[in-house]
Amino acid sequence: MPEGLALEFSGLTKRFGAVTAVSDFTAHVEPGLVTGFLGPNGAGKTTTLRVLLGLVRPTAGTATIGGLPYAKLKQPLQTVGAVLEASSFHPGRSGAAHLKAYAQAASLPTSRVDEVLGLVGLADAAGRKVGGYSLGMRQRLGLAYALLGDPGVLVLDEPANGLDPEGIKWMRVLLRQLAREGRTVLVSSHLLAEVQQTVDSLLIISQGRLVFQGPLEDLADPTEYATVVDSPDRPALLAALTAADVPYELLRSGVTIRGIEPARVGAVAAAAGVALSALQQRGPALEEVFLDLVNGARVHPSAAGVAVVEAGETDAAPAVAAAETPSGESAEPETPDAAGGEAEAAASDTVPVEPAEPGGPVPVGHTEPDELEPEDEAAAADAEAAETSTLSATFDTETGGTPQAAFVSSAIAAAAAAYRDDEPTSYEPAATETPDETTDAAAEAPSDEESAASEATPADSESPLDEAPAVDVDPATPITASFAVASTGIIDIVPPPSDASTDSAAEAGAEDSDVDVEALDDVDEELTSADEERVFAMPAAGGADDTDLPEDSDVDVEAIGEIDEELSTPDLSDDEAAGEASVSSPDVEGDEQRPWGEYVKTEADLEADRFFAAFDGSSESSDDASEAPDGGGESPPDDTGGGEGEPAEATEENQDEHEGGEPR
Amino acid sequence: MSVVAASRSEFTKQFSTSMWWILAIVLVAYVGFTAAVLAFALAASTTGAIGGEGPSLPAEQISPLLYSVGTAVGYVFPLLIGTLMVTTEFRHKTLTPTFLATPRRGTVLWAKIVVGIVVGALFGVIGVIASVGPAAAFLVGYGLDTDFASADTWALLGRMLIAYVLWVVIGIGVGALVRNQVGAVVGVLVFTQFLEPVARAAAAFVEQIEPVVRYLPGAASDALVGASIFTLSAGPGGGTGDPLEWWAGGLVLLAYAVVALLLGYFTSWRRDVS
Repeated sequence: MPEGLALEFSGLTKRFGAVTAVSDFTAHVEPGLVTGFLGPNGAGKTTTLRVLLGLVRPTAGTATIGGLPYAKLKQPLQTVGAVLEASSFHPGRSGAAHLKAYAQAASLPTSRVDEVLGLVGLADAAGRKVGGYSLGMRQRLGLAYALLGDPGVLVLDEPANGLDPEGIKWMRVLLRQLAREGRTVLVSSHLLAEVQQTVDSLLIISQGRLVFQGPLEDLADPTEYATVVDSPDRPALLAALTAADVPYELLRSGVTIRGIEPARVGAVAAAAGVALSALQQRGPALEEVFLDLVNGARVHPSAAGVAVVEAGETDAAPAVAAAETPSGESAEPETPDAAGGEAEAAASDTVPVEPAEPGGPVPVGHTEPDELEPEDEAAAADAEAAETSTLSATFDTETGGTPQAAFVSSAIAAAAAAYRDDEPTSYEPAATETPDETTDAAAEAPSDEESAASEATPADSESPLDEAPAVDVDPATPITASFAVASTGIIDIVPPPSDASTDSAAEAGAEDSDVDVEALDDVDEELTSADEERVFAMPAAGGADDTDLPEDSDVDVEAIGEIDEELSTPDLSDDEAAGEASVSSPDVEGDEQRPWGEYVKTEADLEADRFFAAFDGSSESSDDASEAPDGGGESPPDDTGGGEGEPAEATEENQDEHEGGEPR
Repeated sequence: MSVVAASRSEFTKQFSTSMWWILAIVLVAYVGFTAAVLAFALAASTTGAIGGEGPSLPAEQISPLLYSVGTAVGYVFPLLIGTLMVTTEFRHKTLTPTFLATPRRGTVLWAKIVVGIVVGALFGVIGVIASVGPAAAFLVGYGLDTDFASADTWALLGRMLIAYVLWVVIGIGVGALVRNQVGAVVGVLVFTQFLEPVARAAAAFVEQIEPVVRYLPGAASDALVGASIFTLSAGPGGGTGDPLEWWAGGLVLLAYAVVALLLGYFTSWRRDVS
């Protein structure tokens, strides 16, 4: 059994001409753990790994494996296995011959070739030329190369690239197993979500500097955790908390208590004889913390001497980083600040994340006992102060209603899907999905001003659920209302007991939420980030569908930045989405690079939706209602950017669409 | 030890793609065709089978001239295969796994030289057969002496093998130096098929450049072999009538190989791989 060796980076610096790729990087990687090496693209991950492997000569500093530089290793392949890129193969050589050549170079028996090929599931393709391999097969072949010498140290650069969800899962299990055997596993990624479930420990690099080093649990400050509790008998709960001198805030999703363990809160409730419907601990979204670390908005003590990026520089950064896609920027060149602020606001709902924007602290904890949810948008209002009043109005009507939860989850689903999209091409369909989903939510809220809404906010006109709670919405309020809801609502996603469940609109909403929860589950698989939240008690009233939400909310939170991105550009994509939907052309589906990155409902999904809808005990009409928005979501436009120049036409189409949707 | 392992690896790499046998087939076709046409023309004119206006050679010069077509015309093939041995690694980024398996880069280059020598000898045998076969057939057909009984002929064939090996090693150096596969291949073809032939043809008329031209690699190669169709085209008693000694030609060729390898090693081979 090969033993894992510690990896040591000491003052590592690499400059390429004037560009400093890695700057004074000092870190330590322990054997027996899976260590994630995270950073945005271009942060210096690959350079660092290549220095470690002796492929790139450092400008200064050292990188050693068990105390030796790579070139001094007696048996390099038997000591370190590395997967650096998916394309290091001669296309005309068979997979087996590729491995055979390197087995010979490392003086390994050629029988190892068949062993590792079987291990990675390529035994059948061994004799085929690599040129005919899929990207996933190449990744597996790369991994086979790394495992050739049964090394004690494994270094993998973005191993999940090109793997399908099944492959990612397989890779995850394999890496965990290898670490359990005592090996050192260092795996780089630009997505925290991708490795979150796998890694024990993290190194985070940004702009060539280490910004975090330590176990995953240390990423978020424990004091940032809060306990969320709720009870069907809320006044009794509040009275009990007050009596026990427990400070609380009343949020839409329940009562939030900061800095106190769920156990104690539960004890307080138990002592007072209050039945609870929910009790859970909620932490900050790790992805948000990660992004803050990466763009310098947050500094972790584990990485001393890190230069803090100036606030002015960071306020646009979260939006960009959250999107991880160039088109995210280009989609809204005018409002990067707003988007950034909203991302912050989103995070600040549960956690007082230090806002990156210089706009001031995010007010959290503004309490309104008579309303169930509204303080959340106060946070959002920090970014979009002008909208606050209308937002509140919108929320008030939503109070306690399921439709909002439905909307929130639908927006999440779309955004979470969009979150995975790195490719500009696939980004756009996803983007249009979001407005679609948003649209039905928006429609649920402000519906009685139909015509006004359809003129001012095209999204509203798509509303299939016009019988939803009515409110007078300021026509000037753009779709920002929805994104404010989205950004805050996502975190507090647990829907209150649905006392209004007989209302058909509410049922439609519940149905919708159900649908999206499934989407979430799918995305969740991808994002791998589930269960950072600890659910201690079961929501009582929510029913089967609702119980999914708390678990997923973690994932969703990561997508917040994305949602904001999407939603803050409603006039572009909504117009387009509406226009496309009106002619119902489901065209884009094949052009995304990562098909799992966005969620497009298939027949089977709709089937499953109906199945789950049965559990709601709702009337048949909810089926129709729930399918309507989905239908819209399935026909995204192929060019969102094209919507810019045709607002007039779009409005017209929106009205058409609106009329078409009304009879339902 | 390590060079042995690396050489085995390089050997597997070399013969696990189709490049080597494709080049071998082209070599056989190209050299064989050229040798056959020349053998027919020279044998026919020497024996007077076709009307004898053209230059006719003494019968004893014909066989070395025809046999040496394998190097005089075919030397571009070992040069190419040597170049490709290195540039494919750059092109397909296989240097990463190669250097991971063998971190000492000098060892990898040595291994390539070892395999290059083997491949050069193999191509040399193929090239010699491709030129000697048709040539001997025509000589026999026209009743001329194939000179296989002569030790000189076998020495010539042996020197041809040496030339092939040296050309492969030069190609390795060129590949390490240039890195870019397309650039290297185009450069090799332009130099060997255009620049040097033009320079050597010019040297036949301008005596002043002849001392330089004789040190060009192709000329050195011909000098090493001791016979070449180019000495014919320059005309009997023409400008290149004073070639280097065969060993001097070999040393010049070896010098090219060493210089190319050293330059490639120090300027390019040790650079960062990314």
